[in-house]
Formats: sequence, C-alpha cells, structure tokens
Amino acid sequence: MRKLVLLLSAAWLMTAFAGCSEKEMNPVGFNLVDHEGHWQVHQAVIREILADSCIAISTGAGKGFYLLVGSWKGQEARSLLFFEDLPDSLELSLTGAKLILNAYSESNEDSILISAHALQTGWNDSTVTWEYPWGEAGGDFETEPIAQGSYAIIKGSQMQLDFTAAGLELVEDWLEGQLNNGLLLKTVDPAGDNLKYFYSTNTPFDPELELTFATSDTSDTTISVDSDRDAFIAQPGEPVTGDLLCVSDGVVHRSWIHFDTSAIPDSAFINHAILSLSISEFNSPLDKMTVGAYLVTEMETLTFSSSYSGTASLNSDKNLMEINVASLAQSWADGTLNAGIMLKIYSEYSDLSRALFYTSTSAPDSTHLPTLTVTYTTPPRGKLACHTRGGQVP
Amino acid sequence: MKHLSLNRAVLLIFFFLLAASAAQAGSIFSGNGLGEVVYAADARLRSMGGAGLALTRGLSGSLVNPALMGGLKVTALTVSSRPEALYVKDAQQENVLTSARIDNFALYLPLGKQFALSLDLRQQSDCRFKAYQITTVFDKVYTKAITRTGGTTLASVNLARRFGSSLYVGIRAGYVFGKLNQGLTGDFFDDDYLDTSVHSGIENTGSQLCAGLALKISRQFSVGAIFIPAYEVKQTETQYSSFSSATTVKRTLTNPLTFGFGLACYPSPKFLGQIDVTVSKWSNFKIDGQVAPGYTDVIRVAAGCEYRALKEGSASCFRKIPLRFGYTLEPWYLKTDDGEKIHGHFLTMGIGLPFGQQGAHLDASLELGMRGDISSVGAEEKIVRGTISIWGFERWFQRKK
Repeated sequence: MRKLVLLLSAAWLMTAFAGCSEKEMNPVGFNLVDHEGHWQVHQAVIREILADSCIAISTGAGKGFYLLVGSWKGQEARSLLFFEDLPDSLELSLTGAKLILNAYSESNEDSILISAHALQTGWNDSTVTWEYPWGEAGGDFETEPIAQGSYAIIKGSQMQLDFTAAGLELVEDWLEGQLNNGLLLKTVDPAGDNLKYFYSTNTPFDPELELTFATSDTSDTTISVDSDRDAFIAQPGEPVTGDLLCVSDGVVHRSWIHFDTSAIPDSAFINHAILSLSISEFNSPLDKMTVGAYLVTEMETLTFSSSYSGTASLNSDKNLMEINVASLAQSWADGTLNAGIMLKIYSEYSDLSRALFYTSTSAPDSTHLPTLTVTYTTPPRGKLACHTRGGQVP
Repeated sequence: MKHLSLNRAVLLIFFFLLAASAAQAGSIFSGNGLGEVVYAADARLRSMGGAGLALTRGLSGSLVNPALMGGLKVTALTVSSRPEALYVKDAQQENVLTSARIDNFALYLPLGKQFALSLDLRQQSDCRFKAYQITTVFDKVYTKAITRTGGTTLASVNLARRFGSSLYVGIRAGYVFGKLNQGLTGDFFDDDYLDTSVHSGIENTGSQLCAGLALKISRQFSVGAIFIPAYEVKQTETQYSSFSSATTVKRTLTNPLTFGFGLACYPSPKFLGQIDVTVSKWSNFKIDGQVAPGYTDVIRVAAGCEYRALKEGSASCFRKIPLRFGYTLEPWYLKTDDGEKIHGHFLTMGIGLPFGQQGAHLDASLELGMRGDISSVGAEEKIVRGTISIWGFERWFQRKK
C-alpha cells in the first residue's frame, strides 16, 4: 500500500510539472469573445490637402554648428567672426596674430584659398544675412585682406590664417579700444565648388585668435582668444519656381502642409503615420540632409512645436521622403486642432542644402502626390470586463 | 511512512503548492463573465460527481456542507489539487491546454461538546483565458491577444455542531478576495508601429455566508442542505489603455444566492449512493444594482456512489480501497449572444488509498467531461481532470495514553 501511495504521488507530481506546458498560440475561443469586437485596425491614405506653402525665413545663421566659407554650385557662403574679450596688453608689443579654425571632418577635399577682411559695419549674429545689415550684399568689408591662407581639408585638421602687417595693425587698433566690427572670411575664388565647414562657437571647437606679444628682445608670449560670436551668411540660391514645397538651410526655407485628417476618428490610437513627399530636387554639398516634421500649434502665425515628431534622412539616392508623424497624428486624434505640419531642416544654419517636393498641384502623376498614411486602431466596441456577457467581450 | 502526521502533511502541501504554481491556461469559456466558477471539493467527492451535501461518512462532505464536520473528534487537515488537460476546439482551430491548481486547503479543529471549527481556503473563481492569433494587417504581421488571469479566493471560518447523533448544523463566514487581470493587445512585428493595449487590474473584496444542515434520517438515509444568500463583492478596476489615460472604476457585484439539497443512502457498509441538486440564481446577478443580461440560472445535478469490497479473502490491498463513480451535469452560468446555454457533462471515477494508522488517506479522482458545442455555442472543450487530495488526522490537545 505504501508503495502504491508513493507511486501515485510521484506520478502526479511528474504530471503536474511536466504536463503544464501551455500552447502559447491558442486562437481557439476568439469567436467566444466576439472576434469582431477585438479592436479593429484601420488605415487612412490621405491625399486631401487643405493648404500648403513654402516659407522663406530671413534670420541670421548664428545658431549653427558650422561656419561655411566657399562656394557650391554658384552659391557663396562667407563667415563672420567677432573677438571681444581681447587681452589688456598695451605695454607689450604685438608681434604676430593668426586665426585658427577647426575643420569639420566631413568637408570635401577640394582646396580653397581663404582671405580674411576687416568688417566695416557692425552685425548681430541673430539677424545678419547676406543682405542685412550691409550697404552691399555679402558684407561691407575692407577689400585688402588682413590674412590669407590656402586650405585643403585634412580630416580633423586645423586651418591657420597668419595676419599680414595690415592685420596686425588692425588688431592693435582693437587692443587700443578702437572700433571692432570683427572679421569676414571669404573664398578668393567664388566660382569654384570649394565650400568648407569649420566648427562655430556653438561647439567645443570654436575659432581662436592667437596673439603673440614680445616680452623682451629675446622672448615672447602667446595669448589665445576664443571667438565671442560668429555666423555665416549665404548668397541666396536660385529661386524656387513652380508650386513646390521647399526646405533649405543656410538660406532657410520651411514648408507647411495641412492635410484633411477628418477621416481619423476621435480617440483613435495611432499605430503608425507616415508623411510621404516625392522629391523634385535635392542639392546638398555633403549629400545628406535631415528634415524634421513639427506640430503646427497655431495656424495664423504658423507657430510650431519646439521638438519634432519625426525626422527623415535624405540623400541624392532617394526620390521619396518619408517621415513618421505618429505622435503628431495622435495629438490630432486626442483633440488638438490640426493646424498642419511644419517641415524644416533639423539644423537650419549648418549647410547650403535644399530639397524641393511636389505638391498636389505640381505632381506629374498620382504616385508623386503628397500622402499621409495613417494606421490607427479604434477602441473596442465593448469593455473587456468581468461583468460583461459573452458577446460583448471585448 | 507509517503515520501521516500533520508535519508530514504540511510537507506534502508544499509539494502541491509547488506543482500548482505552474498553472497555465484554463477553460476557454473563462474569457467571459466572472471566469470559471470553481466547485471546491476533494477528490473523494469529485469522484462521486461532486455530490456530498448529505454525506455523513467521513469529513469530505464538510467541504460542501459546513454542518457535516459537527462532532469531529480529531484535528484534521486536507489539501486538494487539480491537474487538468483541455482539448479545446472551435470552428477553425483546436488546441490542447494543461493546467494545475490548488482547489482548497482546510484545517479542522475539534472544540469538544460536538462542536468543531475549521479554517478553509478555497479558490472561488478562476480566469485563465489566453487566446493569441497571428494575422496580417495592411501587410504587417500582427498578433492580437486576449488574456484574463486571476480570480477570487474564499477564506472562511466554519463552525458546526452535531446535536445528538443525527442532526448537524453549521455555518461558514468567508472573506472573498482576489485580483483579476485582463488585457487586450495588438502587437505589430514591425517596431516602427506602435502596439495597442488595454490592461485592467480588478481588485475584488466581499464577504459570503453559508448555512448548512444535515440529518441522519435512519441508518440507511441522510439528507443535507445548504443555503448561501446573495452577497456583494466590491470591485475596483484600474485600466491602462492606449486609448485614454488611466481610469479607475468602482462597482458592486451582487452574486447570486445558492441553495442545494442532498440525499445519501447507505444500504450496506460496503456501499453508499448519493445525489445532490444545487441551484444558483445567476439570472439575478447584478452590477451596481442592475440585473446583468446574459446570465442564466444554474441547476447543478451530481450523483455518485462508493463501493468497498470489505470481503474476506480479497487481497488486503483491494479490500481497503474504495471505488467511486459519479456523474455531474454542470451548466455554465452565461449564455451566448444568441441565447444558447453552455452545457457541461462529466463522468467521474476514483479511488481512495488509506495509509497510516490514524485514518489518513489519499484520494484520487478522474473526470472526463465535455463543455460547450461547436454548432450551437461556437466552441467546445473536452476535459480530462484529475484531483488528488490528502487527508491527515492527529489528536491535538489530548494526552496520549
């Protein structure tokens, strides 16, 4: 009897341990809980556009990460530098000065001859453009260069522009407290494709002015001064012709597009939302561009959110831009007024790139139409709750 | 293992608990309503179809009728566990699910003067519905799932007294508690797509009373009855949803009154037969005072018998082993949307294995059942359910001679 009891107990324990294997995929029973009542996933392909426009922005390029010098496809960029906190070393004799710029390692390898010029007009990095505040477009500067250097990019390298005698005289004037409007850097050969990128004051590798003072007949000392503000100004590119949407940096353009999203029901949960724009033209010196989609919060002023909903990376191989705007579409489903989507280059003051997109009126065919494809789920019809009856769950 | 002391019984209980901790999917019908209502009984009763309202032989009947522990003289402890396998099927799919669970645990204490007290912990309702389906949505692989797990447990104190040698009266006061977790999910295989989900946690608390009565009419017959008045269970549901912010809803469920009658017959020391009829008025099930639609009264009929050879000349082993058989008609308390009732039928059988010298025994039962019907209900499940129970006895508070 004892053996029988032990045998049965052992058999039961083995059954309990080994037999408890759930078949994970068990679709049996969906019908019992109302298969159709499990929420439904829908997809809306929206091509109905209420409004769109390409907007030119005329603000300064002082917030970018790079200073651009040179030309690309006929569009020239110049950089402005201002050194304010100069040393009080009037009793010492200035024997040398050079400007040191740190190159952005992804620049192209074409050589460039860069000259530095004293600016005649004061400027503000948040407002300065190719035209403003100059008497002459491209900046009011002394024609005689105060420093000049030939530069061919070597990854991670620095560029040094040694000041001429006129340059040293200018710096001495600054040290004496005379008018200081800063420097302008430009290419000597604006006809070539020789655009170069240098890190700006908004990065840890900001430009420096290195000053050398003689402390005696045989010794000297060197003082480095960081740039206090800088910016680059870019010559306006070719105007956008035709009904196209546009994003660009350097000379900044943004685009606003307003889809009719009335097909998306309130309280829907957005699983996925893709904005697709067919690319008409893409130009980028570095063959890359990151475009962000932002929630427009006010239609009259086209104020938009500070953070993007999604981004898309473009290059010359792509002919379609797709941005995930799920969080943006969710805002609309949650009750936020749909005032459209603002498209802009994520960092607008760091390059001379531009992308043009077809609109609903300029698209050559239906495959090039701007499209917002939203995959969404509607709430279950019934509640999955222990008190409900069979057919209403869930 | 000459004696199954309480210490050894406790060790066995740990084994039971360990084994049952791997509980898996249960009835596919537990996707609705309150889940599966668990009929707490030991293997002896289950092998007799679950009948026991009038069973005055042994303590098993006290699990369904608290009066039947009146007159207890020794301390007793029992635990039951139910491994089961379900072959489930609907019009499109079929599957096999297995599970194990602890049905009940009870400690009995004699109080003297024919009084007895017991502490009882039993599963009351059980949700273990898990349904997954892989499909495609707009050319994306998509898995939708419905899960319901958890349930409620009844912790109770039972007090009973035997008057004379034939009248048993008892009462059970219990606290209902437990959490039900349920969720709907829709998962895209593509990580670029956000998954949809609604998850709820439902806390249940309430109290339940049960009164029991049994009477030995003669040496051959006894009758028994129970009455459970309608009782309230408070629910607090907290829901986290993709469609809205977290919400909390409180509601009150009014569970139905239940009453039952049983008749036991002992024509000889070798044989006993019994039949129970229990009625639960689920049609009066209410949510916040409103009668919930779709619920239907449940009339549960259980009948069974027990036979002991007790025959001189038989092998000693088989002479001691009782053989049991039974049948249960156990309808589901919810109807389908079309008003179809969900029926359940079980054929039961089992044996008892006495061991030790103080009346300890291990009972085993096997139930073969079928619930639902594809043509009328949409699904069916064939159930193979085992129950293992251990009873241990020991004299407490009494000086051993």
